Amino acid sequence: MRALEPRVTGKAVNSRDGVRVAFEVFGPVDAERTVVFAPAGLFAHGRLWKMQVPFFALLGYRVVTYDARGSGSSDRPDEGYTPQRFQEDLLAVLREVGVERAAFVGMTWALRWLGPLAAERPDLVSHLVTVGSFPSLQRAEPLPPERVEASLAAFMAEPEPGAPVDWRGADIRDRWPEVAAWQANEDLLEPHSTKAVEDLTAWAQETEGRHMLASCLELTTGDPGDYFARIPCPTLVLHGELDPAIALETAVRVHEAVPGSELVVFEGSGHVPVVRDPVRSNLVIQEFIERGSGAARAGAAGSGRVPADDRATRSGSVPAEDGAAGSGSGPAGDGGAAPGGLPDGATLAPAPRRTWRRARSRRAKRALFVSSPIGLGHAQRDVAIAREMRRLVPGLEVDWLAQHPVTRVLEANGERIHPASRLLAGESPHIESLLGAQHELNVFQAIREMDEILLANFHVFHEVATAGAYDLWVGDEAWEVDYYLHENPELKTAPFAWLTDFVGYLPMVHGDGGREAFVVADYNAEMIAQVERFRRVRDAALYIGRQEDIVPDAFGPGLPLIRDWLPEHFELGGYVRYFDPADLGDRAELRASFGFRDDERVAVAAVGGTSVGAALLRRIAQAYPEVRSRLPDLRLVVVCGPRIDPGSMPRIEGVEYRGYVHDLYRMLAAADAALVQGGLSTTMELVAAGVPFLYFPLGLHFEQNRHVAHRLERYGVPAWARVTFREATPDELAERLSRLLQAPTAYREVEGGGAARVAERIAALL
Amino acid sequence: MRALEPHTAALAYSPHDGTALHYEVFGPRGAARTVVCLPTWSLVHGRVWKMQVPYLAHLGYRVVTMDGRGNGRSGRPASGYSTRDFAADAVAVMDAAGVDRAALLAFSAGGRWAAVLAVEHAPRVESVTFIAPSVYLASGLRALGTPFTEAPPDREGWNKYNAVHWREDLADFRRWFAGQVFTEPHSTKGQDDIVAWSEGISPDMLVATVMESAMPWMRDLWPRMRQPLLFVHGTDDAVTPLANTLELVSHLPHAELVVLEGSGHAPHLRDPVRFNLMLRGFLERNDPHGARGPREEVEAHASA
Repeated sequence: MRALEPRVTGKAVNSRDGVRVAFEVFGPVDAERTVVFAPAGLFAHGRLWKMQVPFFALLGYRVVTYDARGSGSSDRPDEGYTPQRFQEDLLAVLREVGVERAAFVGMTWALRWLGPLAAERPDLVSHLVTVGSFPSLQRAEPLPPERVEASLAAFMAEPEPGAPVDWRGADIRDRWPEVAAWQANEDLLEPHSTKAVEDLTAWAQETEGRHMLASCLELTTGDPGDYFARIPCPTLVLHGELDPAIALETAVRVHEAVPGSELVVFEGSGHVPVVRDPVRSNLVIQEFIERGSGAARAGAAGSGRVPADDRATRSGSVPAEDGAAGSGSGPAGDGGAAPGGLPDGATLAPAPRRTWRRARSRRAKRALFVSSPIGLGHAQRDVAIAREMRRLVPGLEVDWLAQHPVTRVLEANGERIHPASRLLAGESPHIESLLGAQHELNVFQAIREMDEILLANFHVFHEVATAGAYDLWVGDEAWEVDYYLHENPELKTAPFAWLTDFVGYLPMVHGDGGREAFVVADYNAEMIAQVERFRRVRDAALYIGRQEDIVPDAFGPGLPLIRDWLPEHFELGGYVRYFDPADLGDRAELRASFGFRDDERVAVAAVGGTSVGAALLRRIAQAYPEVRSRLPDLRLVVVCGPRIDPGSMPRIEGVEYRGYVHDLYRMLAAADAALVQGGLSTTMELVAAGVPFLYFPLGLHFEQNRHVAHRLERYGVPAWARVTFREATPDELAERLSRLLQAPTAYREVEGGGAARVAERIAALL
Repeated sequence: MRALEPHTAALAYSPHDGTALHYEVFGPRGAARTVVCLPTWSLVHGRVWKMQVPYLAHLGYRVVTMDGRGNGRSGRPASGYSTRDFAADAVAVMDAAGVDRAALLAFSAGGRWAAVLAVEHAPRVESVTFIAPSVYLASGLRALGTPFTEAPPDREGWNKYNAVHWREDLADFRRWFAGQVFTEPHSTKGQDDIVAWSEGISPDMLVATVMESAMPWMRDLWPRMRQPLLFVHGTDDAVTPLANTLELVSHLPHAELVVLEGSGHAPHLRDPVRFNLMLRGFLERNDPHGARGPREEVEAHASA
């Protein structure tokens, strides 16, 4: 049985030569819009579209199919197979059915009568979709007669006796059943295509060799091929990349000849994607013919209204969600899919040329890594994790969606940054814009104020993630991805791994009538509700730390303790140390590589990847004369990082400034003392390297003051090493530096292997 | 910081009374299609579209926002807050920004001016998306327990929607109303935004917006909209009832309606992802250029 029986069957008569053409009509009686599927010449009759008909009828379209003359249930005259006759046949069917305007979808030969029809009848043809296009050899100008003759002569040449069948005149005429079976097998080069090959072969048996041959000759000689530039309607050219019957270049030629047309290439597909990849074909065609149509549901049920309980269905018509074809303009990986996603233009709009790679042809596995731009530490850790993932999953391709300053680290490591990254709205500039005068940054409020930026960036992620057909999404503190996926769980179309080194916002402002404490608790409560309700959003949730690293606080009044709740909803991945102190080599050599002498002590001041530490660096520099008066052999090197201009720093005798230092941890490890901000990554680098340090958390920064400070305490960093900006007077800095250099530190060892552990857990999702 | 800064910020002037109208333009300058985000009730200003602007601009639309008279960086006349004033303001901004035709976004009270534009300036309106329209065909106004200008028996609930109370304690109304706009759990940010965006409106002007809002002609005008229309309304809207929108839609057989279950009055702010994707679908289905999207049009111009 068929999936859907026709509502009407009949035969239309071509008034010129009396040939009767069999047609079928499907879909609702009161449909307001029509799609006409034209057969692929005589090779495949109306049933060619069996994978399209029920879907478009269900969408509310009236669907018309018919058998070309010479095939199926239509009459089979000995001659009369010119494009003109075929066009008359189609018009007869449309008259009989009562179609005044429609979208037309045709395959191979059908372009030879649909093309002229679209050019001549803009009133009738609203859209043209041409699949596996087989246009006339003759383009704007007719070929010289001798070329046509030569081509026909070659086509009609008798084969050598015993030669295998081929697409040649004599074989078509004399050995059609064999030719049909052979051609069907050629056309469907996708693995596991037996059913489609049998169908195509069977349909092709419903014509005869002599009719097939007549159509080949007459459709070729009778086609002036001069209409492409005059096709005014939206035109979609859909073609299989590997089409063995008609090369992709031919489709590109059609696309280039029809003004404003779109080209969608199915990578890994053969000649008949509408049969072999029906779902993606249907979605691409639907999206195309509904664009600009005004149809919510093509007039389904007459009203286009969507009942309240139909939201899930409704979402299917939103093109951005269906994993629509992405453009192939990004860097192509070897043997893998093009990264898809967005073109280089600053837009999320669909590109005129797009590709979709069929699932079976996606050899390399692909991950999309979203790394938070707030702080550079994530970047180092994420690069280490990605490296381990590639080791575990050979051939794995990782695309990064990231912005400055993370991109700086990624570029230095040769990672592949998705071109759409430049559509991301700036998070670091926003955070920096909220910096208070006294080395103060209420990062919770900064994130809260960033809601529209997070939303804009989620849209970019969603577009890239769905278009790119990734096998895995990884987010390291990518708040927008985690938050909006929980708000829109139906948008999740790949496994998602979530990494963070802290869980739970904590209030830092007191004396505001409890407002911040209330709002913080509300944010935590929302997060808890999201995670508990939609467990399916995070396929892996990894806390970058151990149980002892979790702060003792509760999420808020009446909410659980973080250390109770966290282990139930996260796996504890341990710390991710992205370098091994043992690999730093000989200390003297390391020091020498940075120009540090043996007879001096060097303090390095650094503030990570943002510009928020500029005030701190200034203050440290200004304290240097006082420091040097007490510690004459202490040299001060100030690393400004990627977002602070060394030229903006005060000129103080003996203070050296450096800009961005790649693998800063190596320089820190070579130092005798360090002065850093309160970020987790840098402080833990120092712990791992055993370098004594003072750290200066940003005021009101809950993560640095609470989560990081708690963890550092566990690793043995003394309380006096934590200095507030207010305390950091020249005198006090000199005092604490002296103490630091006198008292040998005994930090706990930072366990190695974290990146591999985390990567292993994530890679399991692949 | 904003997710996207405007490339143009300028003033237009009301043809009625010369009131200055602050507007901003975002997105590609050569865009073939424009979305005009209409002002809503002047309790808030143009930032009420902050969750739509960057996305629409990334899709290739030119996006225009404006501050309604009485708030933001627009002028603050003592009177002149009728529906036709707001509609004329929008036309003035479209003229100043060089927008011949646009898809309109209308939130709450913005639905009133959108209707006027769609009927009386039909060629300039490509489509309208109505979010929780505050349009009442019977009276033009929300039904109130106590007449708007008389002191209510107490200051609870909708009794706060009252001229006397506004003059006495507008801050209380603003905070309370923000709570009515967002009935979804965990909406403090949205509520704080409403409170912040309503800092610039004076009680007298806010009273004028209500006193001058009568529109007995709306009943005749409303069904005459011919453009593609999308209505979006939340089931938990505490400001404009869903039933009213069902009534509004019943006069417009060609309109699409999407009901968002569990959503309050401002789903475009509280569920921006879903709303934006829906809006995108609607705009693309109703692209007058057919399947040739805005982006391509730009390229065609560039190469021409």
